[in-house]
Amino acid sequence: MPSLAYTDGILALICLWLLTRASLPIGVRIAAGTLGLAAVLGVLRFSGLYPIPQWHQFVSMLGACAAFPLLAVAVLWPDAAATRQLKFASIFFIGMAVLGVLAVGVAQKRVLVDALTVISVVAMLISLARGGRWPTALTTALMLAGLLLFASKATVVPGLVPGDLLHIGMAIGLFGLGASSLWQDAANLDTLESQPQSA
Amino acid sequence: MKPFIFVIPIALLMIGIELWVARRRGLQVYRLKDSITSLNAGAISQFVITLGAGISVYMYSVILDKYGAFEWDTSNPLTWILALVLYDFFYYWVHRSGHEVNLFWAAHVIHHSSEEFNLSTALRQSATGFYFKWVFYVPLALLGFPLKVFLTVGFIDLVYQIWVHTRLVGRLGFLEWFLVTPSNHRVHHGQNDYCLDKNYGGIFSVWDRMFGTYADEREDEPVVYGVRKPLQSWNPIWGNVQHYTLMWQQIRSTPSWRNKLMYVFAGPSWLPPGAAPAPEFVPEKFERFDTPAPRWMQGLGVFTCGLGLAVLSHFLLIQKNLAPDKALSYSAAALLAYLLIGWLWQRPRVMEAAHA
Repeated sequence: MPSLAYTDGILALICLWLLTRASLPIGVRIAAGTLGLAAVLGVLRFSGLYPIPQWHQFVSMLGACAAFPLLAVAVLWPDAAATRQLKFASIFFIGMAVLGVLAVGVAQKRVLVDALTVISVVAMLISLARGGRWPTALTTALMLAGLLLFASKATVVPGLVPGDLLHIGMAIGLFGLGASSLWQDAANLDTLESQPQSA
Repeated sequence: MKPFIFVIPIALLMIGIELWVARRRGLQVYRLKDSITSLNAGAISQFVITLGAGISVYMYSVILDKYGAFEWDTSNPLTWILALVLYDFFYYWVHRSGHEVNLFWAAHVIHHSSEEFNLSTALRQSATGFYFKWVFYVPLALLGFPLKVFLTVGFIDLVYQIWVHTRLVGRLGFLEWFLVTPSNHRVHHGQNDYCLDKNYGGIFSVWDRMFGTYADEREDEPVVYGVRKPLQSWNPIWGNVQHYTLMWQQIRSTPSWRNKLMYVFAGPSWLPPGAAPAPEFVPEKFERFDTPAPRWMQGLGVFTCGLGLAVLSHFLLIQKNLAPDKALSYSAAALLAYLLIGWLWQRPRVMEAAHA
């Protein structure tokens, strides 16, 4: 079985973990669900169990054009409606997905979608670094490294193909976001602010 | 778009039958101006949608070619049944988003702007909804359902919904459990509190039951048809753009970017924090929109409506052989004519003549 199936499996497990974390906002869980679905389809594809390569490509494209920007919104604006509310997270996701379909399906410019992914991760990285959340910033930097290594088709680790580095980088980055207290802190701050000021 | 040519005479025949049955029962379910507005809006939507539908077909084909995963045996009836059920499921979400996202409500509101409920209301369709609806049917393309299947089940879903726009059919027993019926669709068109955001299904009402949006018709509170921000016009073009202009005014009224976005993507009744709530709706106090119209105005309305339907039939017949630019010019000319008629009806001198 190729290594891509294993690394996609690791990514799928991390995404499943994020999905089951009720403390994470719905925007993050929608993004994790999409990336997890792409990873599961990757496992089915690369292991040869039940390959549906078209769906793997499609959901990966959704991950690139919609899930990463949704994650970026959640990191940059932890209390935004698109982060916290199912309806607005879905609208944002679908809107970005439409742009992705138009870019890839109609304009045949996959590079636009890839650029959007990189911009999203860079924005997350800057926001996390500026907020002093260094451990999460580090895991996000590793995610960015995975994306860039995949884009450059570099084989820097013997035995692993660029796709593996992408999967591992994403798994580390998502793990970092899942373990971060970013959204709990924002929620706690809200709770404090909404308490009566009489004391 | 040939099937729509057959819809026009069939729909007119059904309207005739409904009128006849209503007369026999001593009921008044039609008002001439309202029905003419509905038919004109229907014609306009067909002029636009026959072109706009090209977007849906194109996008569906692109996704089907690139990402369609499975092949389906179109000689197997199960393929069609499954496609219809899935189409109806996605229709539920198209329809629900059309009510719960202000931007999409702006497209759909014209269908609900009639304060009557009859078969002509079914034809009062939006001319601007085509740009977003295709998105919801992408999963059918991913599953690999051929374009022919998609278009056919879409047409069946649409045609099914015509007959449920009537007040002459009561409750239908066990069918109410899983089908969209005139009774539960009357609730959908109501503006009473218990009717708001309910019964979105196209053919099957099971989706509403699954997702908690089902409501039964109440005998103790008659349904008041229409919308809370009434159109108050017989101009079908204005009916298609009115809510967009209202939304634009709302967006401009607030400096906050969050509020601007909420005006676009939140529900139509959303108000910024601190804003005065909308007045309570009292069904008994509701007055339907009406304007006086002498017989010559009514005659002219019927004549222009009939002429519009004749022109539309001609357009639908020859459209397949027209180059895109010619089809666009034809549609544009028809829309201009409707715009002119709508504008004329609202001229002060015309209104004065009507009052005189």
